[in-house]
Amino acid sequence: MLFKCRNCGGNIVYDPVKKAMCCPHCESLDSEEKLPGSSIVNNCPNCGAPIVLKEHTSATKCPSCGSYLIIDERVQEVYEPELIIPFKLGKNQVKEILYKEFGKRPFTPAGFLSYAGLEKMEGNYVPFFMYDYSADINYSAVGTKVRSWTSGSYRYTETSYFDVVREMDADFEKVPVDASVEMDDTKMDLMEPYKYGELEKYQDKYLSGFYAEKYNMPSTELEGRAEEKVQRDSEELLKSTLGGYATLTNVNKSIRTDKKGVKYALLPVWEYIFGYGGTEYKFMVNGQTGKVVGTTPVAKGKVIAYGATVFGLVTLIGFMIRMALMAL
Amino acid sequence: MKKYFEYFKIPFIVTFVIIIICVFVKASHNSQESFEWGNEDAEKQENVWDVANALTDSQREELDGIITDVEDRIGCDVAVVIIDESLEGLYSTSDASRWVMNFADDFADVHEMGYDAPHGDSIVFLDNQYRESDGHVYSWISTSGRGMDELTVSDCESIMDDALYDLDDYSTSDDYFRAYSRVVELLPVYMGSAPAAIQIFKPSYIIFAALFIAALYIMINWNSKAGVRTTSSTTYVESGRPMIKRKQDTFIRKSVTKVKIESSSGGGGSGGHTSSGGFSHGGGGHSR
Repeated sequence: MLFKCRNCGGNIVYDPVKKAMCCPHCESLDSEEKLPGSSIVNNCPNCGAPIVLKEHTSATKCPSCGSYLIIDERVQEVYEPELIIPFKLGKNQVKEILYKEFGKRPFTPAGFLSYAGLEKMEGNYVPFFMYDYSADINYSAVGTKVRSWTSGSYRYTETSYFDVVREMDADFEKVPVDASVEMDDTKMDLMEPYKYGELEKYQDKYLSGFYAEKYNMPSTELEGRAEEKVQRDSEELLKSTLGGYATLTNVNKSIRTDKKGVKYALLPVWEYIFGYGGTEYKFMVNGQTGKVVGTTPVAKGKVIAYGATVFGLVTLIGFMIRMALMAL
Repeated sequence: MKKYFEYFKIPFIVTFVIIIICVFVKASHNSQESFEWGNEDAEKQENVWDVANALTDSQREELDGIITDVEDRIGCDVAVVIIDESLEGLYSTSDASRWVMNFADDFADVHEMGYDAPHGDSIVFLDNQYRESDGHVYSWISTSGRGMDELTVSDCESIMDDALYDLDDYSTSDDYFRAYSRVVELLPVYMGSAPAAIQIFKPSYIIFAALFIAALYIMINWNSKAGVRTTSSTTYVESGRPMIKRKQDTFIRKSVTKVKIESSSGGGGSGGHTSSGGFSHGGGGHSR
């Protein structure tokens, strides 16, 4: 399908800043009209040019006329997402966030800011499965606390032993796992957390103006990764209740997890690629929160100069304090 | 360049403020009580006895000036003695660290050193650059009178650890000058009023800490911004916390052990002993 403007016939896209469907040609707001078509076999419903689709693409841009197309079969029925977080940050806001971020990284070459060419700037809706899990944590251990003091010419060390028992339940809601092969798992994990308060029921219009994929594999295939996250978080929850002990010798530890449900959602990720010195630098930006993931090049000269300055300042301060102490 | 200054603006300002405070502290404490010589013969004696020819003439002169200042601040006759010869067989003991002690004690006795009177308040720093047959180079600080009262064995050891740590067979006269003048400058620091914190601010520690902090800074800023995890264990937990059904910490038993505290080996004392000349000396040694 394709969203057309009732007023001028142009391609209408979703504008994250105005939070509305917006015609870039006549600036009409919410004047969209759904034009069906653009199925997997079809040509572009706007210009008729043939469209080459990748296996999982559900929204793309016509290479001939530049219209944003949504592939009906890939957003309907079994592929219809239940939830979506619409893009909240627009292209220019993200660019600003990125330049600010680059500026904060002291070792970024000065030239990177001015000469790096923006080679690609794409808003992607990444398919995610959101799992609900309940975790049942059972733990028992022998813990010790150590206290020591001096009396007369003796040093006393008292070790107290405790029977430590923890039983807790945790309900995990919407633990996200990306269902895209193309998207790097580690980077997608680093995009977290999304603010779930802004999750909405899926609507086709949010995809207009962006790229999207349907889930690449069924949710059962990704359960393992969700469970790993639940296990990790459960471990941390347990650990947070075990402060104050010098040692803990486990007697029994079990974390039982149970899948309660799963939802299919699309989450927004901006992908920016900069070219600098013949290398591509790829940045992922959370389309809702603006969190940046990606590395900038490192200027060796800057590392040396900045590192030496830190060394020099600390040394100077150290010797100054020493001088003052010696005079006291 | 503009960016550099912008980036380091706050560290530069902080450093500047600290420098100002430190300089002010130093300036306001420089006018300390000073002592008056009571032993004219000793006052006229050489302060630097560079038998080993380790220093240049001008360095000897400069060190002499430093010693003259320090003597009035601490009320002790101070001598720096540098030799380069084996002391093996000169004394009855086979403990090489005692040879330098005997030599330094005898030096003070023979020269009738003393700020107040002959055989009085004095400090001799002896560095024997000769590598003895056991492979070590020995140094000693010999104290008597006020010096003995106010410098413990561990003070003497700390002074030499601090000042002589980077000396080796390849040291130049500059290195030696720096090391020896530091020994002298540290005497008033350790005698009485120096705060304990001076032990932490040793040059080697400062350099090490600065290297460590600089390395840490580089590591943190290198590529860490590739991304850090910003979720916590409760991000996805309903209502933000788990339901704790049972939390029990039951005391079972306790055991107590007691260990006798070994008194440290004279670290707090002056290391008093009597020299062959019959005079009482203290002090501590160092080897490298």
